[in-house]
Amino acid sequence: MINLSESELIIGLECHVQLSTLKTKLFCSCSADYRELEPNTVVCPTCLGLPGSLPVVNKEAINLGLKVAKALNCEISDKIIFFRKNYYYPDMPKNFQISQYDRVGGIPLGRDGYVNIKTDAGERTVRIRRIHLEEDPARIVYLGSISTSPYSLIDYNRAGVALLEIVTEPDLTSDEEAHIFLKKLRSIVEHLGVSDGGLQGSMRCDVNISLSGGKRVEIKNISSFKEVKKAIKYEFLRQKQLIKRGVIIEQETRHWDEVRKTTVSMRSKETEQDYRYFPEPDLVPIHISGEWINKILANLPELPEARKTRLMTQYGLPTHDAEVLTTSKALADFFEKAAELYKNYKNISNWLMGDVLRNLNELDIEISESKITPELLVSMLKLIDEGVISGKLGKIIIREVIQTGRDPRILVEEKKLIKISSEESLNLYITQVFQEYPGAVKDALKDEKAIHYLIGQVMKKTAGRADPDILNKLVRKKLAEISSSVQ
Amino acid sequence: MAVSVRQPASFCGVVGFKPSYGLVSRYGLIAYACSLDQIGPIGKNVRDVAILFDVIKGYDKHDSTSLNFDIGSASANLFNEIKDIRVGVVKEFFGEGTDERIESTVWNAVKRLESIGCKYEITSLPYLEYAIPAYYIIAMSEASSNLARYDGVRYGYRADIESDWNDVFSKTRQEGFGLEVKRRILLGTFALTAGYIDQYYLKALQVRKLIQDDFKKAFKKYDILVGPTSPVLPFKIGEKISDPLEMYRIDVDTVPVNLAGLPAISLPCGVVSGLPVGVQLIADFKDDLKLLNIAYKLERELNLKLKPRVVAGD
Repeated sequence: MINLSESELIIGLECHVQLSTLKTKLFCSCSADYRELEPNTVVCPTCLGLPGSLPVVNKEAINLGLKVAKALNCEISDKIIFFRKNYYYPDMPKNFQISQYDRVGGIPLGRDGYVNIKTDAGERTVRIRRIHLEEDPARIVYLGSISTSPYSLIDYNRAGVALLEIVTEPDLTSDEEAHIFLKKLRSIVEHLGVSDGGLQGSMRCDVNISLSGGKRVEIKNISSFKEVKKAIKYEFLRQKQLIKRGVIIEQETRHWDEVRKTTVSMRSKETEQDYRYFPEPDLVPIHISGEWINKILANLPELPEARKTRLMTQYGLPTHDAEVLTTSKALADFFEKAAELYKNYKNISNWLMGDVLRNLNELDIEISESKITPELLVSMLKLIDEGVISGKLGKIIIREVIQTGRDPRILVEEKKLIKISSEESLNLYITQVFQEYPGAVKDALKDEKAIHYLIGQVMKKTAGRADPDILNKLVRKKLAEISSSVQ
Repeated sequence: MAVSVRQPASFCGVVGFKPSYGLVSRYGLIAYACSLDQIGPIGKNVRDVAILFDVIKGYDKHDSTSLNFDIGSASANLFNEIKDIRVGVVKEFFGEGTDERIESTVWNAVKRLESIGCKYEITSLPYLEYAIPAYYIIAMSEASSNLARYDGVRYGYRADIESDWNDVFSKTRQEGFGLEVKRRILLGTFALTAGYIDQYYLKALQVRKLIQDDFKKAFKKYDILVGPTSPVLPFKIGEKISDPLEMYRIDVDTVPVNLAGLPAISLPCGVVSGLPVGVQLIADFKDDLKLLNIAYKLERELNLKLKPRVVAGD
């Protein structure tokens, strides 16, 4: 979290959400599922921008766009008009992008919406300026870092995939808030079923950032929401240093270098691009009827806010639990699946919010990328409930389950982790320890601390598998015996 | 290109037909100015043109501006009787710069319309005066964007240099495009640039609307409008390339139709100094069949037996 004591930070975001659940691209019938394919294999004359090709709007993309606009509380335009955004760049098949515009007769799909987020400082409203549909450019592949790569390769598989651009007002004031907003946005689009945020590059972001007294700096090319936080932090420190040295921050566009984790200047205000927007003459305006909107509203799935409330009522979870679980659709889905198999809901929630999330954070992966399943978590919780392992051991093996996806029951057996609760076996260990530490035994007869020392030694010998309650009971019993025999 | 059917047809003494915008798919057509481009047939006579039109017309889901509307068979409709056709002779088409010999040749054809059941009168479409600047601003703006894709990466000519993308794009385009194309790209880019778009591109769109309204009003009174196809007689190849403004002005009679998306046909109506003259008939949007029907009757009435004449070159 950035320390704001010295400078006031203002952040606005331009998020690009791929409509990754669409089967085809925005303006042609090529598959939109381009990942992990040979480069330049899902392409056609239209998405390659070849002469003579024409775009045809994918109606389902508009449906998904309208869903998001509604979920973000936007006003919806009564017609969809596409515009050409003209600029030259190697990732652009036509050297113009079919997009939408809010001036010269243009109107975005949605405008003037808002999202409420929960921060440490309380509830905040982030206003949404506009939402529009546009086509994704091709993907440029560099050899290592963008600034040192000797060439660039172009993969047009991504070109033409439907993107939703979501622009916020400059309502965010820290990297943490930006992160919370993006997580919420992701949870919303995942609940709507329009995008899978877990896919590489399916959610990207440009950041507008300014410190009080300085001009707005735009950072482009941030390829994941995780990187946004890092980019903001870097840019904040860079600008703060400059301000400290008396340098005035000028308006410019910078590029996020993901490899070197720095921002690099792309162009200054003087060379700011003029995109020469004009209405796309190859497409006709699409009228959005009230009926169409009503159909969208009728089929709007449960959104994170509603799900939060339902988790509270259906499973009796506290507000905080329900809030954390619904920050991610995958997490909430995980919880509900587990809850079908195991009725101590609060216990599931505790484990998810505690050890599972902590391990995921440490491993820097998402629950969808991990190997743990609701069945595996429940299997482990049952091992604890049955007394086969201790909760302490559960904390140890959960990480292995997350990483390997192996059944906790098998892990426990293999590692001989099963709790030792038989008095007979524990007494063997106790006898051994008492022989090894006669001094401690003597002290233990009058000093509580020494008792704990002895228990600790047995625990050590059993590699933590001793049932603590039974062990405690047995050690004290043994000491009592010694004490009475001495007297 | 928008005027590359009727005007060449008129210059060559053949028939050229531009259908209503959207009746022939543009899918596969290399775009110059998308909102003005329209594929149309050129043929020896109206019937040939109608037969070809029947083949190429029709809805195409690959072209979003394609009309999902069946106008019927043009060739079968040619022989229909016509009567009480109201013809408007557009004053502006005989304006300044029109060759007097063309004027009188076209007027002769207009008078012959009476014999095939048409009544004519002179009319005026005042906004046609602004058609040329509006047309060229819109066409060049769209062209500047349509031609941007020729960067040497995926298609066509590529400059033989090894440098960064900016250099490769620039060199490719510098070497690959001709002078007139470069001129149009530069003018079109200018017309769309912030600070100028209001006075040029957006103003041109307003003019386009006014011209469309002019036509709409005229077609409340008339079935077809007539005038010459070109204000000048055919000229030699390359003769006007050094004076682009003069060259653009020659399109004065044809481009208003493109701005309005209407159907129009040019047919030969006589010969001046051994050079063919074309008369242009224009109909209301989607009235293509009626237009071809009247053109067919006029062609028969004129009964010109034009034969190509071979002239020794310079």
